[in-house]
Amino acid sequence: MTGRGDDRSAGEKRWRRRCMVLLVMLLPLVLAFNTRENIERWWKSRDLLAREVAAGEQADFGGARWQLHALRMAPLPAGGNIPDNAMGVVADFRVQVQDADLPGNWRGCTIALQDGQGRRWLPTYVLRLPRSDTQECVSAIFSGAKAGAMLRIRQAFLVPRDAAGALRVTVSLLQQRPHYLRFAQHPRLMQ
Amino acid sequence: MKRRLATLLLLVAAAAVLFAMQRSTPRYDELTGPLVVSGRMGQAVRTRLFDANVERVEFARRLVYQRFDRETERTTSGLWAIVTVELSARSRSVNVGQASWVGPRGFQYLQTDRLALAPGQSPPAAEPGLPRRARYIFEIRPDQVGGAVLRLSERFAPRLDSEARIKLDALPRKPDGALDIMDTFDMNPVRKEPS
Repeated sequence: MTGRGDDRSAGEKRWRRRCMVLLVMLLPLVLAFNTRENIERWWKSRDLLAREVAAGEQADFGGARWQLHALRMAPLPAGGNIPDNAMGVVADFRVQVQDADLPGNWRGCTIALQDGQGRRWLPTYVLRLPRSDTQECVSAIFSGAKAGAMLRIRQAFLVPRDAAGALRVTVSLLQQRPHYLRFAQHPRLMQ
Repeated sequence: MKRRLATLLLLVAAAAVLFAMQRSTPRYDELTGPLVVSGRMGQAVRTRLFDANVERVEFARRLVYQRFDRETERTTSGLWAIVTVELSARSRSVNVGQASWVGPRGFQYLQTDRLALAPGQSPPAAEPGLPRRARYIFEIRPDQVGGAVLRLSERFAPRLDSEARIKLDALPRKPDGALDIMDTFDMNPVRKEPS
């Protein structure tokens, strides 16, 4: 009688141990299964992995070949919507379209300036640039450009003077995230 | 008998605890609502995306501004409240486009939409490292002046993001303590005299 009782208790202990081990294995799996969509969304909603582009080089990105043609800066006098100590920066790209599906490839196109501390400056609408055949990234999406076409993309920024010289341009597209382009070239002061 | 009574008491206690938990569970709206950062006038309130410092509040019965080279005026049966704020973005450029005046009785006034094409009425874009002044204008009832709070955020009703709530506690007063209300507030930018 006692022997059968010992057998049963040993069996229970064994199963309890197995269940504990299974629990430890299953809990993270269930957690990962339930949160996989959130994790994936988080991963694809951020610019995390920079693809460095050397000065003067081109990079294929989002069905197009991107080249930073010029990055110029000039100090701006304060007044109106321009705060004190502001520097205007203008980034000019030459972009050769390889895949004409710009609405699909270039969705969420964001050109920004970035400094070493991770601060980001987005395009400003305070600076009025002279009319030209350049366009902004978002408006180029609906330009109907065909494969092989060369687009001129221009964006303007308002940045503090003390940080301007060390900034770098980034290009981010929704479909390419978490990858984004980062150009090595720094802004040059206009004479 | 004692044991049954203890069990019954335990059940009642458990039911009471569950009821309390059910009643005190925050709703989804509250759980994901704005993360409030409070402050008062004259001090920088630091939210996730921007710092805001309310410099002054002014009141007027009439606003004037130039539109298409013509003088335009806006009158009100209440009061115009003009709030001047210094804004500075922290980690990225941000439009601090959502502002509201919450009066002492809880009335919430959004920025007026009666000032189309008036100077300085586009959503104020703040850049990191470049503090700038922004002006928010509200049309309020005169009894909503004292004890009001200014709410500032990037978007309307931010979810899981910070919202500045700044107590407007330094209002303009006359020497006799009455509220200082201007007859006319000129919204046009100050022109520099040629030297």
